[in-house]
Amino acid sequence: MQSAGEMALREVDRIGKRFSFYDPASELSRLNRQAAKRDMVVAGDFFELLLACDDLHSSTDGFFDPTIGPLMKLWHTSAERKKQPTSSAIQKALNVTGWKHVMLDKRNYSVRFDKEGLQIDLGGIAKGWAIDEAINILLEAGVSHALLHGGTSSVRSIGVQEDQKSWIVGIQDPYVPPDAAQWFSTVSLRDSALSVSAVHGKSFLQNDIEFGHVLNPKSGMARTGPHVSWVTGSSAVVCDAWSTALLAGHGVCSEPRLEIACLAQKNGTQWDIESFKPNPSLLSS
Amino acid sequence: MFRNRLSRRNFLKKSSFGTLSGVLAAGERIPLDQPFSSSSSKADDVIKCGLIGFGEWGREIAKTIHELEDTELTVICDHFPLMLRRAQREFPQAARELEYQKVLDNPEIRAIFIATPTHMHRELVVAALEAGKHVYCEAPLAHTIEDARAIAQAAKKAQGQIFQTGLLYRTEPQYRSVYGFIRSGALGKASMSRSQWHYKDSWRRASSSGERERALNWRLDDSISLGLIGEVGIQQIDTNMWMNGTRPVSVTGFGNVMFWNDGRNVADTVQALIQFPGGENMMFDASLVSGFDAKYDLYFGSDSTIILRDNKAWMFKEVDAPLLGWEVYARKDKFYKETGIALLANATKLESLGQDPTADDPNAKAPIYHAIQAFADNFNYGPFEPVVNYQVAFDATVVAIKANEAIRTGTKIEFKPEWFEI
Repeated sequence: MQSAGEMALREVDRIGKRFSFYDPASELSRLNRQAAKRDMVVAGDFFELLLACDDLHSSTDGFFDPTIGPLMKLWHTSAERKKQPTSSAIQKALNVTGWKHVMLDKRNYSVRFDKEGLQIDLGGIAKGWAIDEAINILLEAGVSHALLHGGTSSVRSIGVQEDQKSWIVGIQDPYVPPDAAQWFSTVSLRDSALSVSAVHGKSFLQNDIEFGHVLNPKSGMARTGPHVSWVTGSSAVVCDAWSTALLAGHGVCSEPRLEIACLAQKNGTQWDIESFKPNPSLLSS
Repeated sequence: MFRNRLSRRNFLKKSSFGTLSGVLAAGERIPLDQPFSSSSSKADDVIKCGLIGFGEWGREIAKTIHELEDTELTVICDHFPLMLRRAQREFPQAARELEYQKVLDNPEIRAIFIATPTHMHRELVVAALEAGKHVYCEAPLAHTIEDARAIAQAAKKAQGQIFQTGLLYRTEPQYRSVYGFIRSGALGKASMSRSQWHYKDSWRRASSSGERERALNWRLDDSISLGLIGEVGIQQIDTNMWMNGTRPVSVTGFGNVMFWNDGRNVADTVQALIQFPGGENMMFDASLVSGFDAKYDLYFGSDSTIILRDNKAWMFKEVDAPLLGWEVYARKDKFYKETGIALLANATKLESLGQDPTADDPNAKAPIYHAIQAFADNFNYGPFEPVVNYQVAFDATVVAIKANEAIRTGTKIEFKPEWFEI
């Protein structure tokens, strides 16, 4: 089991290096530098990941968009200054975003950007991808019970626990200290994945408004306020993209690949949970 | 004839980039905004390559062949179907074969890359050379001197065919730059060296198939594995032999299973002292138990000590060492109580190109990239003797085999000249 886990984690590490937005030597960085100048042939699995981005951009009506790198940089700088960017700065960044500018040629696995300055950032999906790949390695190694998590936002299970009970994962209230171990909802995982996105964590306060790191690709604005989204489904990649899309502002979700899709807002000490799947409803914790 | 005639594409490339040996040795950076485009898109300008062995390292080789402009990953061969399914996913344009002979029988395939377990190299290398292919074989050459000698003999006999081994640092630009420093006397009087390779990992691999699992764990089989010093340490031992310019005279080794007590006999922690004729001995240790400080090579001397880590190098000068002049302007980095002068290959040139030499090089490539590029350059612009030819590879393999023996027996082994005869 140890060795299977090592193999899986090595694969996660390998994927992290290949698709790092910040490492100038990564395959992704090379693509970002060159794709506006010429067609770039990429490895088959990289192309598969980009096709998944294409599919999820479409199914989330554009609320998941991996080209918002310039916007992310802008808001990252803003977070350091604790001051939201100006509308003109946001518009300038929006002018070099848009998945529609990414051309994928399935015949020869090539990628081209038709806009200078476009950058793909796979941060919203790469963790889910890495988890799915790691799960495949565990399955190939014969593992039948496992829970693999990528920090506090993405987790996927193989089978159930050894006592045949589903894996129960709590959605933690991000506004209480982690060691308080308070969760306002739980999900039951059985050969499924969970992804959670929250405003709190990588956020900054300006005039008592909390600006998070998840951005609306259409308006360029950061999601504000105490919101958490979570989704479950068979694929961590799909879950990653959808938890981001829901938090980014997508108000509907009929994605057939998801089992649960929720968006929660904290009012005082209470969380109001809007459930898009399995049935639209409003719940309270 | 097996050499690629100098096509228009390659002629223009050669003219515009200057001498390749100079580029390789200096580790020159290509400006960020210069597109990597060739002046010809003719299919026959690239070297069609076959890869045998799609394990963890084979995947890295595949990725590199795919990335290089001069090479095409035309076919991937592995005798395990799961590996071929992975290959299909990652490199859908490449054909896939279960039997290596089919790859060797394909006249379009000019070069073969062998990345199988060590004990399988002999059969594959000899067959590939007899089939008229240019061969890149991973290091060590083999797990026995007899097999390694057979490979070296086949390579020696195959005139007109390139044979290069996967000893990576002789083609790595930063190491080549440091080589120049050391060989020009920057250390002063060299006194000793120390290298380590640490990575916390069990080395054990899992599979749902018992047969496959046994095959995957060849490195833990002491009847065929050269252990840490052979499978990993050979890289740093060869680097040391290159820097020293000579073969060692003896090796003393120790090894134990310190942590991974799962029934293995192959040590998870090893130490070796490799003696060189002038007394500049090399201390080497490798561990699967602790990942502390990963991998580095240290060369000590009366004027300075040089450390090589990843693709970076620093020089730590003694207080009474003569001034070199350029060091006044060089970047200096603090390491606890020591101050190291960063040795950046071609720093002056980078600045003249408007690049910050202290920034992470966006074009930095892994050593395997430079190794395969060197192989491709030899194919396109040669023939010339590879820097890692069969003699270099054979010498390093013999040292690695005997070092492993020393570790397993906890003894000192004096090298006999006849062991190194091909």
